[in-house]
Amino acid sequence: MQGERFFELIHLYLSKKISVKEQVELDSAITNDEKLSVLFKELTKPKNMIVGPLELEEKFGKTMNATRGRDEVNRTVLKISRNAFLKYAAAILIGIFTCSVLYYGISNSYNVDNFSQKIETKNGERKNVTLPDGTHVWLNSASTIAFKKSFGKENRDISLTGEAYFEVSKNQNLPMYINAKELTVKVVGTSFNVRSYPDENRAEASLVEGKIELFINKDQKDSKFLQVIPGEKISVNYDKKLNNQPKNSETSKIPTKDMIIQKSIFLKNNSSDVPAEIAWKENKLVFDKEPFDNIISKLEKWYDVQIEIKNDSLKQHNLSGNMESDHIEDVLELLKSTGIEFKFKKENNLITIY
Amino acid sequence: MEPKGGEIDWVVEKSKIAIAKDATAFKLLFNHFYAPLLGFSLSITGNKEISEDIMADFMVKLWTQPEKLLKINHLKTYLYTSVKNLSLNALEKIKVRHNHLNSLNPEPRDLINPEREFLIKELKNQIEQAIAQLPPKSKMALILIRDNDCSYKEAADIMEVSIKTIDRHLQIAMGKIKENLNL
Repeated sequence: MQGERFFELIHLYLSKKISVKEQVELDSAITNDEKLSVLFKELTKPKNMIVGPLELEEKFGKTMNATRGRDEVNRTVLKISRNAFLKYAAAILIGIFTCSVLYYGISNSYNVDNFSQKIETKNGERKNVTLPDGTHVWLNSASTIAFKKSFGKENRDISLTGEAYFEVSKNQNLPMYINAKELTVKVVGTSFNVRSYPDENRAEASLVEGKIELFINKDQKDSKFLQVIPGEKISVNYDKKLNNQPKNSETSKIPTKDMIIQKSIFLKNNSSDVPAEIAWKENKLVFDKEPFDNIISKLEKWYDVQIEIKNDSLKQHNLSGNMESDHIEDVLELLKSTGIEFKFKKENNLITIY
Repeated sequence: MEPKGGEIDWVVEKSKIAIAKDATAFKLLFNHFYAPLLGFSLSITGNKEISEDIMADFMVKLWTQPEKLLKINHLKTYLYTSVKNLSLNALEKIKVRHNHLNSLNPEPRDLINPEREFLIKELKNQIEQAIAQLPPKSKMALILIRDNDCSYKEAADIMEVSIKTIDRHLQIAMGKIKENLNL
């Protein structure tokens, strides 16, 4: 077929005024010539802009937010020496604890079933994997990340339960969105850690270096956006009790209907210690003034044991410690040496503290 | 005549938004039109950031002044015309025409590239470039019809020209693409 005639037919096709006879002519030309077939498809079939569901959710939330005036969370500029971060080069850290009963879901358009590709770890297990887009992920115990088949091509949406540390490969056109219950993290930078176990009622985000945006989506009309800068940690408590005050907090507290958002500094420029928030990746358990029951919950996952606390008064204590051991007994002994008094007995996988 | 986007009756949704300030209806509109309008804007500005800003402002305006929706009778035409004007204004302001192809979503690249696949990809690239280099109005007409399911009438309303002019733009587009591809 002559090029001229072919384009005439495409023109007719686009105008929707093509006759049956002309349609047949066009069809046969396409079937017989691959080049024309490609040409036809490129000129007539929609080439749509792809905006992933999480990105759409973010944009919608921002629209609703903008209509309510400025973000109520005033950004606190923290002056922290860059040197403090060099050892964690380009690491962004997010810890997320959420309570499963408070699951509102990101929206109807966000269909978990789409996340067919899954990587899981059991209690006591940790994995290091590479995703299709080249992103490296360290997966902590009892955690799952899930993504779609189209991950890395049409979207970079990840759904997370548990804790994971990400080193995200750069792609300006395809921002990564990590969704953990009602908290979504948009990644503009390169590396970060996400924690979201279903048995805790707190969400945390701590940024070491780079840039992330937090998007807390409680419901459609009430979303919160927070820009996190290096050294900052964002905690979201889903109940009103502030039982676990992060260190150096007080930068801002914003009570909303049933969550409290706190900002604090988790990286100190005068400290050479690896912060608890990223120590796990290096096989270290670090607690810094953490409540006893929080620590116990972490130990259960880390060592794949069940721990029962018979003495409730222990839960009042905040403990610090830095440990690296294959045996839970060592850790418990170390906790005892910090000055609180308890005894424990171990039968198989059950540990009773009294 | 209001077109139906699938099963959605935009006349109804439009009034829900305008009269009741119904957030669910607005979300429906947002989810339905955000990506295509962004794509349309991008075809004009050639810069994703600028188009995203345009969309953000436009959507906020739409939600804060929903009463405007009452005055219009054709939602799709209104949305596209608004975004077209905003995008053209932005383009006028920056006076910098970024390289369109750089800001377009890149085709996912296969690592394994048999010769045939490679040739097809080459051809697709050539076509994409030929379209990018079309005169702005011809390009807009083609984009509206190809990507946005617009009828001649809708495209004409959005571009604020006659149906005959739309047909002429398409004809020019076809001629230029043919020329560009040496067919």
